[in-house]
Amino acid sequence: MKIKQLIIQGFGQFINQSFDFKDGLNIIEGLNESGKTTLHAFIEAMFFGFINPDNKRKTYLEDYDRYEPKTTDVYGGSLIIEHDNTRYRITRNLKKQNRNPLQITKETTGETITDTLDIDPISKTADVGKWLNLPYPLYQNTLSIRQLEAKTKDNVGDLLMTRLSNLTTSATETLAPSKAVAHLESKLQAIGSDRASTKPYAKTLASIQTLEKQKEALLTLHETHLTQKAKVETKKTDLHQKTAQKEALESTIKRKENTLKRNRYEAIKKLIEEKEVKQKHLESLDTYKDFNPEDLESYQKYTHELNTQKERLEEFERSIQETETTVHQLKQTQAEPIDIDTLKEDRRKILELERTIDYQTLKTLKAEQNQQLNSIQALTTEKTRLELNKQKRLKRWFLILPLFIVVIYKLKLRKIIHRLINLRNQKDLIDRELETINTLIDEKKKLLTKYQASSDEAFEDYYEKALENLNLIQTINTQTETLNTLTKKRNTLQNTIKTTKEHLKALEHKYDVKDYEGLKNTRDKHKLYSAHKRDIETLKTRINDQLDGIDFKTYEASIDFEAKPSDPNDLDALKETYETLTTEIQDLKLFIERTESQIETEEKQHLPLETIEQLLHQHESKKAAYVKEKATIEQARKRIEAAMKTIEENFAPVLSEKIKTYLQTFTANTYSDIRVAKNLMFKVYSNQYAQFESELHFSQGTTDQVYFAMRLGMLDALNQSHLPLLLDDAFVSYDNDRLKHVLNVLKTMQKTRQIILFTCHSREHDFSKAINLNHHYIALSETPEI
Amino acid sequence: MKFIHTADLHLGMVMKHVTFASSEAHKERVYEIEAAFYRLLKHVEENAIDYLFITGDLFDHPHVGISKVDAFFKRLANLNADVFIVIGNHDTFLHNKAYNYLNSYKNIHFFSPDNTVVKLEQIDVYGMNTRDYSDATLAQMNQQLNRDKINVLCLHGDVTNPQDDHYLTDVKNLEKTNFDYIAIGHIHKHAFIRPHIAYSGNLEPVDFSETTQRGFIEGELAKPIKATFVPFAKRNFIVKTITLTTKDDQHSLREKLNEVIQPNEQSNDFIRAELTGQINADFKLDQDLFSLIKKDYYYLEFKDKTKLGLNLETLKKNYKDTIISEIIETAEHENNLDDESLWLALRTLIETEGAS
Repeated sequence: MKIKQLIIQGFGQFINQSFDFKDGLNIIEGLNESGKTTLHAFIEAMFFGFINPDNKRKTYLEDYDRYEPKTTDVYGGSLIIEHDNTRYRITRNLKKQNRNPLQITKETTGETITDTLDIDPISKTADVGKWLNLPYPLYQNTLSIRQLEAKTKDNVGDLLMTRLSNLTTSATETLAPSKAVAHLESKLQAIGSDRASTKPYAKTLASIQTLEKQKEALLTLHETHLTQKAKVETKKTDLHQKTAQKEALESTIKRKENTLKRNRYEAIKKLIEEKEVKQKHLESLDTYKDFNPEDLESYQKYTHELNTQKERLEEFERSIQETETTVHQLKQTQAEPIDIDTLKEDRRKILELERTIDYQTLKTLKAEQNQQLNSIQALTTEKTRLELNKQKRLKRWFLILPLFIVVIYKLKLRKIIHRLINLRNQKDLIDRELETINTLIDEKKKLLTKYQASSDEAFEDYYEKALENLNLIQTINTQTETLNTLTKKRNTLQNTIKTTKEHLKALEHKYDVKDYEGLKNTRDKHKLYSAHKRDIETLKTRINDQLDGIDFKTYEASIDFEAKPSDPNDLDALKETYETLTTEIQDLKLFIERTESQIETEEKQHLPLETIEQLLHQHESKKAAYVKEKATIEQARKRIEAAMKTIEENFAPVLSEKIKTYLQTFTANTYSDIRVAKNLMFKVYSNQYAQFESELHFSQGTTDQVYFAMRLGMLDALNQSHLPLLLDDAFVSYDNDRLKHVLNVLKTMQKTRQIILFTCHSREHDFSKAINLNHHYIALSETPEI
Repeated sequence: MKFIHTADLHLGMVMKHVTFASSEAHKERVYEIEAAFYRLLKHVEENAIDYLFITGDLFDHPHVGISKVDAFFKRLANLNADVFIVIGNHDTFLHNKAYNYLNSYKNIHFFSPDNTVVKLEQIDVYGMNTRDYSDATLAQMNQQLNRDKINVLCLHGDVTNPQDDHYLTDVKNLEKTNFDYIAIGHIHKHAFIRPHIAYSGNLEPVDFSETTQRGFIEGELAKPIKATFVPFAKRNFIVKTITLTTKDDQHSLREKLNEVIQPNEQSNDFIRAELTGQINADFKLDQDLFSLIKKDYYYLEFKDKTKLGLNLETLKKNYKDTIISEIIETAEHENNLDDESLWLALRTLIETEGAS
């Protein structure tokens, strides 16, 4: 394919301009801003329409807005290409919402071929890339080479690496087999293995296992049910027979029972008559019906009590009389009561006084007193005699000697007086002492007198008697108290006797009897009454027992008197058989009912087989689908992996060889080999250092050259020699030597491939001329014409 | 003397060829199949039918719950009509002594080698269970026919295809007899083999192999017999083929379905849409899409027989010298081009193309 002409209607700064390209090398030279990159973008836009290829939905690339003309409404143009020896015109109207965005016509005939092409799923227009076998990624990363250094080198590098990786395994940059394998792998993972219990495959297996178990259980259960049901059927036959047997037995029993009933009926009738006789007798004793046997006992008890009480009363009366006599006698001998405490005190005082009085001293003192009285008398007499003498002598001696006589006498008198005074003093002292003693004696005497005792003995006697009297009084008091108690008791007893008598009277009144005998008679009558009553009750019970809870009339009505009697002797045996049958029938019914309901319940508890089978079938189909899908995926993966391996084995060495050749040429053998690792990192062999170096060590120019070599190698490997190569300032960082080497390579390449080289330098043009590289030269003016 | 002839009720049927969306949907269908029979009994009562011939396969398998069997026969016992039953190949389990009690129903008549005829006032009904059939017995029966009465024969098995496991005899042997009506069960599609020899077919179809009308035979016992087929099924099984092209998408698929499936079919019937043709790689016929479309239908299932609109030659050309052409060439070499894994491999590669 070759690009022949660009016809720009409106694109960037270009409006209504056209550029012709030739086969081989085209050099478009222009300064910066002259529109080289715009032309480059125009070519891309004509091929791919600025649609973002990496997005599933239709979106535009950033370049769309950049190149939309500001001064005209027209946005687009045409590209004339030569493809398979035919000229085509690709016309694009880039305006959005355009009804006819793309038209491809044959240049020679004007025939439109747009509709015959495949539709691109993203842009929904004809897939130009597919038509020209020019996939967008291939164009972007190999054919269209821009100023690498100006771009974010790493991104371009990574992208290139990815493409190269794809290339080595799929032989095309765009197919990503490892992604496809990963995609299949994730599909497999989503289904899961039999061990991945959370994944659908294992879940299905588990469900199947559960269902199989359920089914097995159900079938076993059904077998059991059939056996049980068969048993039920046997039992039902049994039941049928036994029921018939029971019915026959029932009628026999009925007849025999009737006979029994009739017999019993007669017996009952007799009992009723007997009861009626007793009843009449009972009525005659009706007055005694309310006798209480305890009353007789009470009567007896009261009588006995009364006797005892009376005896005791007599005893009391006697005691009272005796005591009264005693008290009376005692009171006869009793003196006036005295204050015994005063007496005792007085006695104590007397005894005290007696001890205090000193009778010896008294006697002595009295003797002394008499002596002194005698002395005093003598002295007094002397004195009187002296005074008389004096008088007499004075009269005699009156003139001669009076004074003397007075003095002599005076002296004599003084001595006597002095003695007399002394005596008198002594006598006073004795008197006083005597008086003290006499006072005590008087006091004692006074006390004794109080008790009319003339002497101490008399007093003692009095005292003894007073004590005796005191005892007597106490005895009388005690006796009097006893008497009072006895009297009280007697009175109480008298009341008790009264009450007892009242009780007896009440009982006599109650039964209208006069005495114990009368009451006893009543008791005997009552006993008779009770006996009859008991007899009647017994009869009633017997009748009721016979009637067995129903009344006589009903009983009578229930008897068939017409029926022929049948010997009821074997009735018990028959009844026993009947009971046995009844039990057996009950058991049978119970068994049947229980078994049938058990079967029904158990069947309800289980899913019916059809449901289990249906689910089983569903899961089995699911499982089969999974198995098949897994196998298909596995197989698909194997196909891809096998193809990857084949391509890798065949392709990678070829690619390396081609890249190596280009690299050697570009660098004039400075770098002679390249190694691309599994992860597609490369190392280049430096001849200067005789070792492989990683890209990190290279200059910008060298890195660019390596990438350029890889691209050309890829193009060669992909055998895409028919597609044009677009180089946009790709050699800016090359030195002159290397540029010459590159141009030499291009010289060969342009023979088979159209090359469009955009440059801002003149050296490409100049060097090309220098190496005789024929080329078509277009110089872009700084301000393109409008 | 009105009669109804039915057969092949297959109660408790396991429908293995219908993929129900849920066990409820399956239960509903099982219920409907049972309900059809109970509906027929109502019809018997309302139309004062005198005789009901059920010619075999009342039940589908020997593990039908005992309670279900009991309930079924109790309902039959309540009819005023006389019911004649032959035991088909599917319900030989009724011979189990657990079901002895069935003989005690007065209006329900079974047949056995010892008891090949039930003689009623106006008609004699003969019958042979599938396992008891023999041409000799047939000849014997024919000899003892009371030609003054109406004679009916009940059978279950195949009379047209000797390959069938339950082939009884050639229809010609039946034709030779003097029965007024021969009621047969076993073939689910109703058919009057002769005017008086008929398969009643089943009451409700059970899967996509039963796409024709289903019902029972009703008529008057007379000489000659008057019998007609009465359609009775609640739902039909319908298979439609939809051819798709690379231009189709889910909307056009819906439209195409609507074109070929009538609204009443959509809301009532079991429909299988078989998708054929070649479709675009990005038109994914997956369960999500199917589930979405199924919402408009009572029952719809898809059989996807489409192929990717990828022409191997074109692919090889478009992806010349790439992994795709390598894979195709390997497959060609192995002569293994129809393998699904080939398509999956190619499809995955194309789907992941351009992925970075």
